[in-house]
Amino acid sequence: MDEYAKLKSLLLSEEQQRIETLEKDLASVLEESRDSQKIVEKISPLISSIFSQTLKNSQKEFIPIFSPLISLAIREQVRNEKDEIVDALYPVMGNMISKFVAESFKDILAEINSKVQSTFSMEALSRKIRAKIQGISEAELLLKDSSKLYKIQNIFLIHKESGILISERSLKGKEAIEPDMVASMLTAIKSFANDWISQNSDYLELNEIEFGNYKISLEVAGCCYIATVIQGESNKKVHHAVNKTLEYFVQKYSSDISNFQGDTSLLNLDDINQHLESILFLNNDQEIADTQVKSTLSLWILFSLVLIIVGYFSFNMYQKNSIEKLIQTSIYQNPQLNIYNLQAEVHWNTLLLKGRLPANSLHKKLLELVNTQKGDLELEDNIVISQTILTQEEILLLSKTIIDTYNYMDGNQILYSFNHGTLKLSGIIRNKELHKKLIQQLSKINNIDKIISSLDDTFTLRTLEIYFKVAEVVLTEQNKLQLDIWLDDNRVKENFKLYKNINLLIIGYSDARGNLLHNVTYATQRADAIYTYLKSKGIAQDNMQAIGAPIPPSDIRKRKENNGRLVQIKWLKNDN
Amino acid sequence: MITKKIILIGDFSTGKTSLIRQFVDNQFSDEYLTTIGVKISKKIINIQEDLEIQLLVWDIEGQTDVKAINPAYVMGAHGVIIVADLTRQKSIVNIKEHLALSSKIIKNAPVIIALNKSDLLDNSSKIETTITEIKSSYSNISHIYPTSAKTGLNVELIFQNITKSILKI
Repeated sequence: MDEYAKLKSLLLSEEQQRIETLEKDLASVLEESRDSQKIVEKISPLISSIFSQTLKNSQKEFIPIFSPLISLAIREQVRNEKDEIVDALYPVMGNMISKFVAESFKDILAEINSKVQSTFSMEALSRKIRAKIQGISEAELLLKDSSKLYKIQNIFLIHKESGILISERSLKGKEAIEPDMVASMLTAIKSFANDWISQNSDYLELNEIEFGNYKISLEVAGCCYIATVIQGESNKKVHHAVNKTLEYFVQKYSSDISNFQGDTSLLNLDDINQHLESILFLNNDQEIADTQVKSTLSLWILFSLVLIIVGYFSFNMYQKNSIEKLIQTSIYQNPQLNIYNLQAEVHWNTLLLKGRLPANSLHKKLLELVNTQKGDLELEDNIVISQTILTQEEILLLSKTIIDTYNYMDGNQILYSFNHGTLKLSGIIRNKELHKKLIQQLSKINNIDKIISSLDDTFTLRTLEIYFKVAEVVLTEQNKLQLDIWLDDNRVKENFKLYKNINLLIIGYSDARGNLLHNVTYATQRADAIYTYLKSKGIAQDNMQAIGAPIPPSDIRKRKENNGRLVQIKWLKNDN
Repeated sequence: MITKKIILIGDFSTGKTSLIRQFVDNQFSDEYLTTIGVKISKKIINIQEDLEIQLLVWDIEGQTDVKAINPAYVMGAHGVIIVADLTRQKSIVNIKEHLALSSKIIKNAPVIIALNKSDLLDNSSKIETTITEIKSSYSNISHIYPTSAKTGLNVELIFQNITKSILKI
């Protein structure tokens, strides 16, 4: 070892040692750095902390770095593990979708309900008719009409050639971004489609562009077109409104729009906008409410009108009917007319008289009666005066009318029957004179060939009086003989059979001298004696009534022969 | 506000789209509109202190042998900018055809010719010659400008001038 080496080892031994250690360490580090597994082992525990630290400090920088990776990863994952992704997302997406669908249906239902509830409206009526015509259910039609199914968001009026926007209207909050560009773009797309699809025809036009749930409907006229952006289903209502508006623009502003050079100040934009807005507000609730109010109002007016007309006619009818009833009643109440089948009918403002009368005099009577009651109605007299053959019923009716008037008089009990042209009369009539008059009247009735009358005009139903001596109550032989003659002469028993409505009233009297009680007893006993005797002669108890009068009437009391000691037998006519 | 439709036509790859990109910030989806052969951009320019004009610029896809320009895109245009590539003689020759097409469809619309990619030519005398040649060939052209979408040379100017020509000021 030379001196230099010695010195070196003396001076640098410590450094040498350090270098050796460092070399060793370096070698091992180098070795580790080549061994990826070892690197992984070392870094792995740190990665999560590195990420969390870095993300915490500079989140914003990482988002753009990772975003593409995430979408790629998701796409890859969906491709490889479709089912798992579906399962993982199902609880979230499923709920979300069902909530959305439920909400949408709720809206639609609410709207349909409100439409259904307004049943009495012209709209509902027309819907019912349309449903019938189209052969679909009303609900389906309602669903189609439901404005929840469409919403017009934007509406553009565009110059057809240049594609320059003339005007644009949008729903609040749905304003179009860059409407001018949209107008140009739509025009370009329209031109492209037209050029591509219909090279050989100038008449075909692009009508609709669909984009997801949106539709852009294009309604094209010669100089301009209207583009409507609709969310949901386009329908005829919208289509019709757009058409009408476009028609209006073309009629009114055709030359202005044709010469349009991009300067909107030369157009009547206020009017144009107003018309565009009217389309836009087709789906506006306020508008719908307004029209409902309007239609309800017009309905009420219509309803009231109908009510007034119906009321007027009903009142008129009622008035005419009461006149009709009044005249009919007076005819029925008139004994000369009620036997004929006469009819009084009111038609509008005419009183129609129908029926048949046998004599002019009766006809005159009828007209007199009617004229006093018909008011301002015009009279149409269709009464036929005819002597034609009367039917059995008519003859009976006529006879009855006459006979009834006689029977109404006291002392007449006339019975009748009509068969084969013969009228048979029986019963009692007050006297010969009356009997003659009756036969005369009846013989005036047409078609009665013969009248056979067995009417008794001698029966007078006169009161019989039986006299008693002082304090006597028993019938003498003379009394009995008197009664026997009376019974025989008046055919009392037969009369009772014939006339159900007559009875005998036996009233006993006294001379009213002395004790009142005694006198009543005498009167009653005298009446009873006659009652008993008549009963023994076969007069039914039901046809007799015996009473004792306590004080005789003055005219009886004054009689000289027996001073009121008598019994009167009176014919009593029952009113019932 | 007054709106005017400007169309840019010319051979393919003459730099129409780049010119517009240089001119406007506001653009519509390139991807979509090239499909139908037109790209629409909007720019509001101040012609005078109190006169703002909105330009809707229709960048019509360059004509190739296979695909002709859809005449509907040209219709209703208020001004025409025909773009040619100074480095490709054919595109300059074809100006004639573009001019014929536009004048056939639209009457009385001013036409400006943009000779693009002027930055690629270091020989300015060639540009002058070309401009002179075109001017002598076509009488009804408002202006001819060398332009560069890359450096922005005359880009603003051509749009300004076409608008002024439209408004006749």
